[in-house]
Amino acid sequence: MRPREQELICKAVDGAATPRELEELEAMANSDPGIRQELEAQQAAAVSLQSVGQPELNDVIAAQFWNGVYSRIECRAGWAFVIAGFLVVTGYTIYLVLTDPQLAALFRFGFACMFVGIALLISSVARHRRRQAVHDKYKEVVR
Amino acid sequence: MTPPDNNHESEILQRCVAGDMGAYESLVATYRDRAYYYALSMLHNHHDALDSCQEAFAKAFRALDSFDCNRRFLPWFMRILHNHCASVISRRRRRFEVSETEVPVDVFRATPDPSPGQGDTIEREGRSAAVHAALALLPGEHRQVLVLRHFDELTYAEIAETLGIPQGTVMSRLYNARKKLAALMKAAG
Repeated sequence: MRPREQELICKAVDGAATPRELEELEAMANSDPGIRQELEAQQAAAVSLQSVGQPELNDVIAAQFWNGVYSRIECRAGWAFVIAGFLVVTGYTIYLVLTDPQLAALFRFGFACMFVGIALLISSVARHRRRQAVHDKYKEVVR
Repeated sequence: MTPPDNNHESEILQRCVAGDMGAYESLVATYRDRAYYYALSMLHNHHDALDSCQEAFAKAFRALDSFDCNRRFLPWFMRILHNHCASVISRRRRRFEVSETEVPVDVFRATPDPSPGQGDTIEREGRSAAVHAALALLPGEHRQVLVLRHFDELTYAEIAETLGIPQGTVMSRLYNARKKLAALMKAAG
């Protein structure tokens, strides 16, 4: 079957053909019985599909379905709040400690060193993970 | 569940964008069966399909801000679901995972009672089982277009958008899918 014939049969079965395309298909089908047979077989397949329809989930799964969706939405929102809160509190604490003149300079220096160290470790791990994601062809193998 | 008409759906979507979880729950209830069946037709595993559907609905909710509420929800959502299922398949391949085909027999509700004049229940259930068994034997790309066209009632343009392929390819796949389905059903008697 040629692509044009396939296209016309497909559109005719789905009710998407224009009157002009239906005339063209009819003319083709009149000159070639194979096209008519194919059209009828495709229409029968489409009718079978439409008559059985979409299966529905059983009542137990259907009843629990929304809980799964809701908990995912809630969980993601929860993480967003936790991360945002952590960043704000950490940033503010660093600011307070570094700008408080009553704290000993040595303590402020140690505090700053600790956070610079943590930042370096995080950036190092992140860079390593990124390099691994780009270059390691076995990255997805569970070890 | 019957999908709402376009105006009603647009209203529900606007309520969802405003953060009304009740409205989103009703939208999820409307489309969950279609979503699950499509995910199952891609992943062949009940737990993966259920998980993917729920994750896709959660992703869709988070992305609703960027959605034009005057458009139909289903084609947009099916694209999210399709991409999510495709990423699950790709992750399985990369990890050399072999996911067992596992679908509990009672996952779907029994075929609804027949309308008057449509034959008896046993005949309908037999026909329904034969069609679904034939669908399961089709290659994935053929099964997907048939489900999107005949069960989800998407247009060619919407199927093309969901699968990220040209409309010409949609028609060609539909043609070949129906041809194979007809042959399988004929072979099964």
